[in-house]
Amino acid sequence: MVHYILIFIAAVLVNNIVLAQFLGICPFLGVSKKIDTALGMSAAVAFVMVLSTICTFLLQKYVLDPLGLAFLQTLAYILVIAALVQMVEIILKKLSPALYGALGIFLPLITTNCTILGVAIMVIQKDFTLLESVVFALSTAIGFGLALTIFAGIREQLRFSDIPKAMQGTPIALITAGILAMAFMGFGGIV
Amino acid sequence: MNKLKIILNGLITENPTFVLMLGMCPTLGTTTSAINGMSMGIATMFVLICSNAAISAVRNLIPDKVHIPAYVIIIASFVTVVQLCMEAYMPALYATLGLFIPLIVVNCIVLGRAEAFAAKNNVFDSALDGLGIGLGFTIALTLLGAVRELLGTGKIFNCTVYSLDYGMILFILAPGAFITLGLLIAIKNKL
Amino acid sequence: MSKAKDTFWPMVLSLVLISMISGGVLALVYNLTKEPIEQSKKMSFENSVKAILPPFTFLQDTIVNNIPVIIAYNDSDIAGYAITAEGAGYGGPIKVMIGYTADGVINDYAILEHKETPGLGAKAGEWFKKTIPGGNANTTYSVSKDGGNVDGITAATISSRAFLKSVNDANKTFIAVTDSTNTVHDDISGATKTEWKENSNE
Repeated sequence: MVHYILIFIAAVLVNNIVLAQFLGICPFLGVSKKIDTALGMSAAVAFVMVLSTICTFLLQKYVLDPLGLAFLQTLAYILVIAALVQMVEIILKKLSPALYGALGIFLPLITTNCTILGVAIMVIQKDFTLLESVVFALSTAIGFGLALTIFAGIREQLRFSDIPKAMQGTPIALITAGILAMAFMGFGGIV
Repeated sequence: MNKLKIILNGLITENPTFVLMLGMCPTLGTTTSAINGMSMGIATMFVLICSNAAISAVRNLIPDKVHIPAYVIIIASFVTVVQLCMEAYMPALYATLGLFIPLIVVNCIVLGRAEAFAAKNNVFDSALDGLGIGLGFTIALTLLGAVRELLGTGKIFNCTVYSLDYGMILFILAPGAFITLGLLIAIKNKL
Repeated sequence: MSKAKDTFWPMVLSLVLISMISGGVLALVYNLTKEPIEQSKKMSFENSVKAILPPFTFLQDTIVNNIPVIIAYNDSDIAGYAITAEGAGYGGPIKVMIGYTADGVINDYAILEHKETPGLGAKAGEWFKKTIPGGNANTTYSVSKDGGNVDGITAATISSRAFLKSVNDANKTFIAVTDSTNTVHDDISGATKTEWKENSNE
């Protein structure tokens, strides 16, 4: 159990996927203007990340590795993720229109979210078991959500600040992210 | 003259990092030194040129409804080629860039240029567009890497400018990536 | 050239064709790069082994206490040992390989894997070159901040502790290895055998 808690803390705080590993920067900068959208995006990412990690993990262990096709990893993973996102979209539309209404607009953006492919590859590199992979994927998604939501909260306040013209928009967002990353560095070494 | 315009467009008018702000993950993640940034840029440029040319060559053979999956397969193939060659002939660099090489697949620039340019233009022009955008990306990454390396370790391209003891390590750590890029974009806005 | 139609068969056919071509090209590139990839992996490991050991003519792998140990021979004499050990660093495990001479002096070390902060903990590869080589396998190392005998890396105590812990672990393995080789000698020479008995009586 302690082992899984350590994976959780490491993925959420210490090696935060956005602030320490620089994955998923595009949605981090793109959909972080409001807390509501940030939460929606985080939920969609968590959902797809866990599902896709399970799929790609099984694909790697039962198809690619036995057949000696590990070199097709990148190609196979991105196709599985793209297909999965499409399927989730179709199924959600049919089964739960409410959930679809909440997450639907974020789903197409997720295929090109590099956290999904990144986590799928990372669990293989780290030689995790299936359960460890699921815990890691979920924790990473929570870490992503945490960073995104905090950042959105700061950006909502930032609109009221008087910022030099050249710094407005992306520059000040990046510098804010830098300060946030510095704060997260404080978690370093606790695992 | 027209050909030169295609290249300059990618270099300046539509510079992927400073104007379009695409492909932020490798931009922030791999620029701990000028060499690393440049290598990442060149790897991406190679994929851009090849995938643009290939996609342009087959653009009329692919039905519209499946063009995205087809493009993704083509891009993923070239990424894997880069990945395998780098692992074979530049193992040290491969270890440094690590995860960011397979993640070129989900770099928005590559698919974006396939959609916006290669799908509408001939093979030669598409390759040139890949070269221009790739160069723009490479230069941006090298610049960012050089600034971070200089401020963080007192070196540029591994040549010592001043002693490491005066280096501000912050700049080669995660927060430094965000802050440096933010400042560079602000400077560009001012110019 | 007219644009392909959006009907079922052209869609399937074009995707299948593209996948097949991609698969074929990748298989080809994979086969071309397979050899160099394996070679470069082997080379980098062998280079670190070579760098940290005293001159030798051939190497032999053994396993002691479940830890892989490389024994270097100079013709028939043992020239030294290379032992890997791990410590929990700041950013992840630090994997170190220590090279010993036959009589237990640390010859040199190499860091095989680490995720330490660049500019801080990552300096371990150079920092301890002044203090650790020349040391003895019987010494237990610790950071001077903890009242120990080695100056840690400035502002990277966790990395330093992890590094020294792995050196200590490697030392323990070294002693286990030399003990086990001594017991092998027991069967040949009586002198070492009595010595061994005296030790075990204590």
